[in-house]
Amino acid sequence: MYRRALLAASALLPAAAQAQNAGGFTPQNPECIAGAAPGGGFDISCRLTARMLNETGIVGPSIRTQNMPGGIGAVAINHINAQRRTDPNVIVAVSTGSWVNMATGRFGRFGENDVRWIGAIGADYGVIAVKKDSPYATLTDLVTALRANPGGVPMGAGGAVGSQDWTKAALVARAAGVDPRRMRYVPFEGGGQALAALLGGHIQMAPVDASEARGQFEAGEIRLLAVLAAERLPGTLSSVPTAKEQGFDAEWPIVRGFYGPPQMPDAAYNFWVNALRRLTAHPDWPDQRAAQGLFEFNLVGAEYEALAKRRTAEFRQLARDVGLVSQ
Amino acid sequence: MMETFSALGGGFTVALTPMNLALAFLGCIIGTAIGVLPGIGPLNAIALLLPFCLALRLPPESALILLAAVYYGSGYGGRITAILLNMPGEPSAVLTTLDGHPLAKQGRGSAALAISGIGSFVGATLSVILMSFLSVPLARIAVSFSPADYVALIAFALSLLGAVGGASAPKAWAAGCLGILLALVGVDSGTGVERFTAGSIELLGGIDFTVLAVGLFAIGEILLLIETKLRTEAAKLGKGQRLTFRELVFCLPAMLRATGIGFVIGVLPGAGASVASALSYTAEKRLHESEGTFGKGDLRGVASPETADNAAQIGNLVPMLSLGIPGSGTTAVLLGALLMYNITPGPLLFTQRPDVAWGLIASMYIGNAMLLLLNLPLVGIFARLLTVPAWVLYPGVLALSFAGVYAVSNSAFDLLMAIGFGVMGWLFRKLDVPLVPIVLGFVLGRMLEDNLRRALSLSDGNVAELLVSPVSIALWVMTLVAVLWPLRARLVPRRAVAS
Amino acid sequence: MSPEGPRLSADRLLGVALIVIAGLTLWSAQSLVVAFAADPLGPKGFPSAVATILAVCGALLLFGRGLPFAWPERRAAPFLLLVVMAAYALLLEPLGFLLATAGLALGVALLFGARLWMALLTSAATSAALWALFDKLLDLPLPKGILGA
Repeated sequence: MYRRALLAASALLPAAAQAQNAGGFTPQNPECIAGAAPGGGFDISCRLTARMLNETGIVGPSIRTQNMPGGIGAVAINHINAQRRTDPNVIVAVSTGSWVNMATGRFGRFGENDVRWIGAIGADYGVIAVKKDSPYATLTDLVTALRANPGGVPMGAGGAVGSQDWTKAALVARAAGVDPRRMRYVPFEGGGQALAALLGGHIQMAPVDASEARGQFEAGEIRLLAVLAAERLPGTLSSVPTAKEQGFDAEWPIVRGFYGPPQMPDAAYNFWVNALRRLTAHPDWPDQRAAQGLFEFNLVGAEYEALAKRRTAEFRQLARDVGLVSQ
Repeated sequence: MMETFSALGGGFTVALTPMNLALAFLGCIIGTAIGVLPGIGPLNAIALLLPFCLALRLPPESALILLAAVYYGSGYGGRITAILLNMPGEPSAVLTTLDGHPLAKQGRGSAALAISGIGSFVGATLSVILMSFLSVPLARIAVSFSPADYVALIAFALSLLGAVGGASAPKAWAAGCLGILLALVGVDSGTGVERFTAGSIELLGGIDFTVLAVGLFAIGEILLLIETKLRTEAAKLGKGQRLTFRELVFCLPAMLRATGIGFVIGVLPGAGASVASALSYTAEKRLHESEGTFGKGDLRGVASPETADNAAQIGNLVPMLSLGIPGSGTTAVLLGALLMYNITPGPLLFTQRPDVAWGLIASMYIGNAMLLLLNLPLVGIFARLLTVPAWVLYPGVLALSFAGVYAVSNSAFDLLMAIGFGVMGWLFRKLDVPLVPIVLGFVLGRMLEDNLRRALSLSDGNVAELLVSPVSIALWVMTLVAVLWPLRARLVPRRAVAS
Repeated sequence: MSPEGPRLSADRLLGVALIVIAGLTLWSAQSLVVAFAADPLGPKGFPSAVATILAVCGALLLFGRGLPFAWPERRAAPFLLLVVMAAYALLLEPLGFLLATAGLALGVALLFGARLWMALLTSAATSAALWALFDKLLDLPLPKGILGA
């Protein structure tokens, strides 16, 4: 009963919240487009973030999630650019995986300049996992082995060559001075199957995501040689050193966030940027973010835009280097 | 052993609270309904329910009990439309159409529904028992299954394709090949190149199974029906006999075999319920080849795939619960649900949160019993579907199928593609090209290619290494036998004539 | 066994169609450009092998006698149904779910020989029920179209 009263009280908040938002913009029938079917990563982002934005009263009108699966957001960006270029009421879930596809031209004609980058809500990080009885105890061991014989360390993760999963492996190879084309990368259907293959001894290294590997790590089934983050991760993962600490410049946050249509009016854009800023500062947010398997990564507006553009440019360079896209 | 019993007892104290019982019941109902709906699968349904669980502040074990019930409950729903209308609601129910629909045409729809419900219960419950006692060692064995072993397993499953082919072998094989090629549309996982997409953005992610199934089965069937104005094809309620106890006993061995096959396949992280039901049905058919009753309405042909389907669904939960490794998209979302409650899925789940792990397992005993009790009395009501006039039923089925496809994809392109597959299904029915191999090819083809390429990549292109493990050798021998057996049968009479 | 010449049969048409599909697949597979060989088999090998088997199956059908070619007994109905379904796919977004679905159900019901007023009634009910199920109960937004503007 008490909880219900709280919920009812929070339902009254929106009016005040909007006044604070100023700019005179109030979304009408706002929508969050998820470039995945219900159950996919984008879908979870949309549904949980929308629920939280509504529950905290940051956004008054109920945000509905619309699913538009296909090409890690390719279908969604085409829809936005073709039909809703000025729509102030729609935001689209996006991740590093989409940036990778933008860079390799998989989004059709559209790229990082065809949307308005609103903000990030959190990030997962790439980790380098080996089995508990692996001969590699540190990232240096692994890199030495890779240098001696680039094809000698079979590795696998949950995505195709050229996907964001593959990029984690490629970055480690590059940091080792090894041509990513020569490493032996085996794609699996999702990180879970890659971990199964690691436990089964079929592959020797799995560059997966921290949230996927945590359970195995805590149980001592796998060792994590490095986390591809700028700083060590909190909690039980704090014992895992970063790649940088070990002298390798490999950083790979899988950032989740949202963008708006390319000609979203400024008032609306500012409203949504502000909404994400207030959401990520909300005291309940850390728990909600952890529920999505994400670590803190708060970046909105212009800074987020800069990151999105920098990352796509970096990846485009990597893709060109290995010949995934033509010059 | 005793430890397991006491842990399970603890689980029942969690599962038997009024709220958790009610949630399991609710999940069973939602799951059955989801199984019937063509567009929406358990994965979608669980994702849609997640925010509600959070909004209602359900404790983790309760949320998981509800969501898991939706998952295994869906295994009870797919068969209903498969049997009555020849339109499978779930991928794994495709095989059920082969004998289920002929039975419905003979007026024995309710018997088919009853035996499939009982089969689902037997498969699920026996699997839950196996899971309670053998979870951890089984999961360890499952991860040792290598890409080469998967290649052998899928080759074996495909070699049984001829068994579901019907009259013409070239047609069955052609259908299987078409299914495989359809599955290859989209971004290639090995190299990241786009294959067979004709530059279409919509095809980048591949063809959705639902689109194919709705087209081939629902639209294709309706096109055929409308052509003959229902005079001959449609199933009738009739005065067919109900399921007798003798028939149940008759089907029991088939159910036990199907449980074994289904559970083992389900535990493997890289296979699933569709593979399990296909293998189980075809193996059963081969076993009773001489009787010649399969495909014409044999009750065992309904019991076998449905039992295997549910056994595999439960098996799929084994690597998820004991190792924290999701074996399918749906179990991955269930894992995600655990994460949302700040519970780290993984090997420590049983020791750190026994209430969640054992509460869930206990709830599955209860849930499956509920599903049986829920489904058996409803058999008669489901069968009444056939008394609905065609001009109410089929417009409804078509609209429901389209709405289901569109609601999860928001893509008119998918609707057009489904209509295209509908034309294909219609023409193929008229040409006696079997549809089931298309679906099996679609499900197995991608798995075969991915695993073959993984295996070759790991062996550095050495084909001989595909044959090193005992498991793959055994499976390849079985494949050879399965391919050669029908040929032998053809050769023997000829020799007899010659002498 | 009446002797039959190589005349048009449905099976032979199917055989030709399968060979054409196999040919297109092989051609499309050969034109794939791979940045670098990530695995020994590559993206071409498997589809090429499958397409070859498909072509062989098609060829076998060419040699068989097969089913005679037959037109449906109600020739118009299936094609009208196709028109109704295609119209639905194209008009769903502009018209909105409620109108388009009612139209689809009405068309199909009439093709199945329903009386007009009964068909109107059931198609309206079907459309409304599905809207409630998907949009309201499952919270999957469906297009509002001209009704929502």
